[in-house]
Amino acid sequence: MKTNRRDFLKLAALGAAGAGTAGALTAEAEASSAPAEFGPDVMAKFYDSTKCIGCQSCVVACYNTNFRDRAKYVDEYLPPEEQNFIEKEDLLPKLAPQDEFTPDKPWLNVVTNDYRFRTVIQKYVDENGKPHFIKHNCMHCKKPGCVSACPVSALQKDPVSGIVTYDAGRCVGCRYCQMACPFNIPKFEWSRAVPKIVKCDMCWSTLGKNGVPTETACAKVCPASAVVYGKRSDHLAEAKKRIAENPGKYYNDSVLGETIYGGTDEIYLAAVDYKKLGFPTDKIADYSYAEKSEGLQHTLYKWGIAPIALYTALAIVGYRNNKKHHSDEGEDK
Amino acid sequence: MSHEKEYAVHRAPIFTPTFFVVLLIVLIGFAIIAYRYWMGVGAVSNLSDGWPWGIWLAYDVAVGSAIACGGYVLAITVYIMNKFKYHPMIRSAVLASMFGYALAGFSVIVDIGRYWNAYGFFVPSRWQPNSVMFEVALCIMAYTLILVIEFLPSVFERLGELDKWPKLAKFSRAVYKALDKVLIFIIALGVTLPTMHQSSLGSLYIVMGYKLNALWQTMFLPLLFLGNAVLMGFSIVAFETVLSARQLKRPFEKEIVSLSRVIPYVVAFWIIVRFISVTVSGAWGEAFSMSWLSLYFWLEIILIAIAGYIIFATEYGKSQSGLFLSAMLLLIGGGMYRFGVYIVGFDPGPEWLAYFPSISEFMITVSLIALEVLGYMVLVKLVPVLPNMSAHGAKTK
Repeated sequence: MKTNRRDFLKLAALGAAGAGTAGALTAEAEASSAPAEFGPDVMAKFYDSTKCIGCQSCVVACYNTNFRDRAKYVDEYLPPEEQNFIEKEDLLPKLAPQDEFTPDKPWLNVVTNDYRFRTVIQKYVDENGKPHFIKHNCMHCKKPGCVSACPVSALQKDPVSGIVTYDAGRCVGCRYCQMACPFNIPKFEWSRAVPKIVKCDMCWSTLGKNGVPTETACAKVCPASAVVYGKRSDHLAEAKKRIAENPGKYYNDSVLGETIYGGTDEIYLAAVDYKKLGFPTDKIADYSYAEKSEGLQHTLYKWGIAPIALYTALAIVGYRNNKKHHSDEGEDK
Repeated sequence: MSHEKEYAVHRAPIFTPTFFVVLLIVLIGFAIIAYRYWMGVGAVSNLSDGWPWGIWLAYDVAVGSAIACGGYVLAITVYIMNKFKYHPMIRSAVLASMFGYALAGFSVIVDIGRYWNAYGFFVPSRWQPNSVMFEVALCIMAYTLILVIEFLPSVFERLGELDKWPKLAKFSRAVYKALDKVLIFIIALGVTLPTMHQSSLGSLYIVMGYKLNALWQTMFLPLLFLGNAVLMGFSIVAFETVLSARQLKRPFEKEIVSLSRVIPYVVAFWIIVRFISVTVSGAWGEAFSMSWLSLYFWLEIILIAIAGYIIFATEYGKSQSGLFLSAMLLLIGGGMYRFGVYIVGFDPGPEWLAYFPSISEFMITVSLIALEVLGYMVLVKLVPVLPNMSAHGAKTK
């Protein structure tokens, strides 16, 4: 073999640099994975289930703002696939016969978030026949699984307001965010040739014009003040105050969103077990799984040392073996 | 050098009846893929918001790329473990790996919704190094390129033999020589990259937390996936060797028997780590609950354990059919493990209907596999890939 020592070193260094790049990049992001505390200006919605009358005004307001009239709120040019074309069946949710409006059941048959509805109100009837309502939408977690999962930074958490935003112009549609969300919130437009991910962004892209909004569509229309929008710290204090003033009224005297999944920017109060209202509180831990997964990645790829070391070792061993093999062969002949 | 004698073009007609049957399957699948691009992913698949990942990722990417680890495992054996007697097998393994990874890449393009944005993986401002998916995507793309480079020598070797175009032949011989010099550094990268992304294919599921059943959810996922990849890489080499001996009526390459001696040790290591992971997750209760999931879990382990036992302890395991059987068991057991993580053990919650792939989804996967088979069938007849038996038998004494 003609390759001399210097060539070898050069090539090995080149390869090592290549192998290490991905690892180094991973390590670079280490700072962002540390569990930070909630900032002072983190915005949140506060939903008190005991105040909710189940009118679903918030659902309709959200639908109008973020789906039907979306183009009206978004100033700059939107590529056609960003504008929501109104398909006939999209205008009104389809009602099954048993779900039609009746005086006893004035109920919109929207059982779960889909790509039209970023928020829904669900009804739960307890053992005594008493109805309880619950609002489901993005929880804007402190350490969101979706943001950690997204490979192209389409989902991002605003560092000031904590709002988890979505940029369709970057999204590749891999749906890892859906897999990673412990609350199963992000929705995908399955029936479209140009689909996107849809989830609550606290009206960041519509009312906020890609900034922190001063109000959200749902909170603005709520007639019972069951859902309000504002600073998370204020909401949390208010929730604790309500619990203190009405001992026993709220389930377990606990606030949902204070610690679940490391804490969320949505604050919930309810009279019944959150599990019955559709939150898998028994399964979700008090930390974000994203921290675990990022912690592991950063250990394995810290500064790209492991991949570079592995490559260098492999290159040296392989080079020696190869050279030896070739010289052995030469002697045979 | 010795390479010219080491490999041979498989002399047989290309357009056989099998060729046209496989081609038909490919065409049907591509019609469905065209429909998917027109009507959206939901029109052809049973995927839902609760089950956003289906067999395209579970089979084509997770299992497919593990099956495509033959090139990885042989590169370790030959160049790193210094077992050059296996060198004649490396080209066919690299070719199969190349197609395996191409299949994975192809189905990802079918699977992702906003494929026109995929260039974002190369835009630094969009990089998200915290994402396991980011690492997997870049690594797999890089490795596919490496596999192509690893395969190029056989193409240039063939072009170098062409008398019709002397200039091209001369050029090809020059490229072949230059490539031969640097190839070992490419190969080292071709070992580093799969080590990274095969483990990360497991790490992908750590962020899903409770959605993956405790029997599979563990911080050992990367190690288990890496061990699984080595296992499946070994067995696919054994599998392909026996199959090509039978189908192409070539003599049985006995190297594979001695190569397979490593398998029991990898099996033992893998099962030990698997048991440790179940212990750490505190999932033994679940494992003995006799639920469908626990039965699946045991079947997966038993298949792998039996294969390890056959090779380790029986004479039968050293025969052609015994080796074939254990390779099959390992492929099924190992594939089951990956399916266990990607689909079977995954549960987003009670409000979602369990996922089962639709016929169109199946057909797309089948057609992509058919495309892979087609490419392999054609290429071994065009360029020197398979071991040259006449020269090779005498050399490895």
